[in-house]
Amino acid sequence: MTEYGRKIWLLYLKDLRTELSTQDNLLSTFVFGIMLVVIFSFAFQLADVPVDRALAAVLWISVFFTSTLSLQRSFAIEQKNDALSALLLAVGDRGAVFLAKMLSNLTSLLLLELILVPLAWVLINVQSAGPTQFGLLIGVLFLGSWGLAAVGTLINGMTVQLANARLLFPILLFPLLIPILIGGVLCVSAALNYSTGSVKGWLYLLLCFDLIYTVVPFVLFDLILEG
Amino acid sequence: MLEKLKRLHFWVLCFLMPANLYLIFFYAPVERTMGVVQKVFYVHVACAWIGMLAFVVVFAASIRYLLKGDEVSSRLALASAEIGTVFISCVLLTGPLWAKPVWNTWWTWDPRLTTTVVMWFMYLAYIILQSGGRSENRRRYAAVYGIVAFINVPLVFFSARWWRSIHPVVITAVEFGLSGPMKTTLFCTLATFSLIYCYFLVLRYRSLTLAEQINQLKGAGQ
Amino acid sequence: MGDILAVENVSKQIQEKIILGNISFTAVTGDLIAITGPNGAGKTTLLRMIAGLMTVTAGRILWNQEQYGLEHGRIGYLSHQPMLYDSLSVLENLSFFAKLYNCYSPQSVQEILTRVGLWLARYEPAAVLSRGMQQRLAIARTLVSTPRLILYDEPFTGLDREGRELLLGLLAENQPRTVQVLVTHDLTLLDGLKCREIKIEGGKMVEEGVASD
Repeated sequence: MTEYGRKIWLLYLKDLRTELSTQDNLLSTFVFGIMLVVIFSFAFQLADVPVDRALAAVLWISVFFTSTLSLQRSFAIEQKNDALSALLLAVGDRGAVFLAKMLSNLTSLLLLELILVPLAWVLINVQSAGPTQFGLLIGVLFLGSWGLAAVGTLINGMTVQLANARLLFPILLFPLLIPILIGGVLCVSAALNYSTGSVKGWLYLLLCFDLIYTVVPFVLFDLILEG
Repeated sequence: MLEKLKRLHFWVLCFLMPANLYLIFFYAPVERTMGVVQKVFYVHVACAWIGMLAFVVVFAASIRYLLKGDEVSSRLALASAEIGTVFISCVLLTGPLWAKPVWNTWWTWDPRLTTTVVMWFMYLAYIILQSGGRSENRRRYAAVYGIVAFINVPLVFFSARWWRSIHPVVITAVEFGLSGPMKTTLFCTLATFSLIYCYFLVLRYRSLTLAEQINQLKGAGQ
Repeated sequence: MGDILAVENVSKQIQEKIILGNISFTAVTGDLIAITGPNGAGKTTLLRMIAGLMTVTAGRILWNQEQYGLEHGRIGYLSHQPMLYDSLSVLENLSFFAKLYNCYSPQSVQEILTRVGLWLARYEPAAVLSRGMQQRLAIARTLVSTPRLILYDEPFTGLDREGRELLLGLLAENQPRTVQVLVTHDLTLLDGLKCREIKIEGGKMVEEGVASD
């Protein structure tokens, strides 16, 4: 078990390393995310929609769209030169590859949110927030990103080996994200409206989603990375 | 034997479909508050039922394909998904027709409607995934997607319902009691549609098999 | 303490197409099996099945009488593709794989890199290396885990004369300690090496040659 964990950890570090060493990719992803948040906020303002109400939606839509850029790189670097085969032989387990990829994708999503959330915060001019609201915000962002990373890793593992990967990826990904969208938007809204009473259930639902979409792909990944 | 059964199936349907229309338009009484527009309800519900059934078939066939790797399950899943898409599209078309006069809106984010539209997207994604060629990889991925998408359906439904139960519901679902003849008509429609589904499934399964055989012959000829 | 690799009646079928049918051979430590045949004969498929990257449709592949999959852990795989990470440096690439195999030490990595002539280029990202140098790094990656079964898939692709001699030297040197299976379309590349030829055509074994020099 510790051996298994060690391999996942090594793979995770390697993924972060490759992600950081190709800074232009990372940078363009972040810039795209920032642009989306600004454009959405502006558009809502133009349409005279109260932006503070729309913030949760803006945030999640931006994260979803931006994630299609970052998540797709995850297996693309393995696919090039067939590094994946060497990796699988060294790791010896496809599920471990899934878990490591999921963790590194989760990390890059959280990094992205670290930039987008304060930006959105400033743009809509949130007046004040107590520690509970902050806690809720961090909690829901973490759970939502986890689910997004898990589903995204699964779909990326499949599409990367197919011809029209770039088109397929978002089409396959987005319908599966609807529960995260519902839970995520409602919880972020609740965090901004300063009412934390009814959201506990949503956090459990998100957690449930995350666990299902971590365990099922973990099991099915043997079939995805074959051949 | 099978050929005979198929022909029988066809003639039964030829009889059942007009008979069913008769039931809907003449046997079942006109609903008092909604009027004649309520007639679409029978077709609407039957289409939704087929959409669900087709999705279950995709799920089951996908699991079987992953366990056994047989062509039959894979083709069956694809055929079922295609038919399911058609019926779900009918649901999405007939729904607003009914909703507009009754709820005074074309669309509402009712849990059933939300789930239906998400299912429709997943069906389309599944078909697009398979349409890029019938390589072994694609079949396997499609099967995985079929399973993952099926698991997603209850998650979507419950989150949408939960959201509705927390927020004030703007439009309350119209409840109406089904009278005896209405119930009979509904059940007959469900049965007829199930038979139509089976017929389409066999037909589409065969055409997929034939298409693959043609492809193989082409490949062998080169 | 020799190892035995046994391939027993292995077949691979993808959809209705039979890629490989009824391949059988046995190899023990010290053997070098050369699998030859025309393009599309199923050579690479066979190699990937031996590696555990692909499943067999029928038959068995045994290592010391036991069936195995990816978890074997003692297989080196050198392909005509370098199987490396472009954005990582030479040193990072090799260290990463060494750590995964749990046999990392700075000395051993330095030793191997010196051996394949890449020590001076250790901080270069793999992407900027020439094709031949990438292949040398791939050789280093294959050796780092001290595998007992080494699989080669057209390993001479992209290597210059010097690199080819390096690889031939390694093949000879590994011979006493390992089971080696090599896929090639051109047997003359192996001149001077003692090997056994297995010829595959259209997914069938057409001949199993005797040991040749």
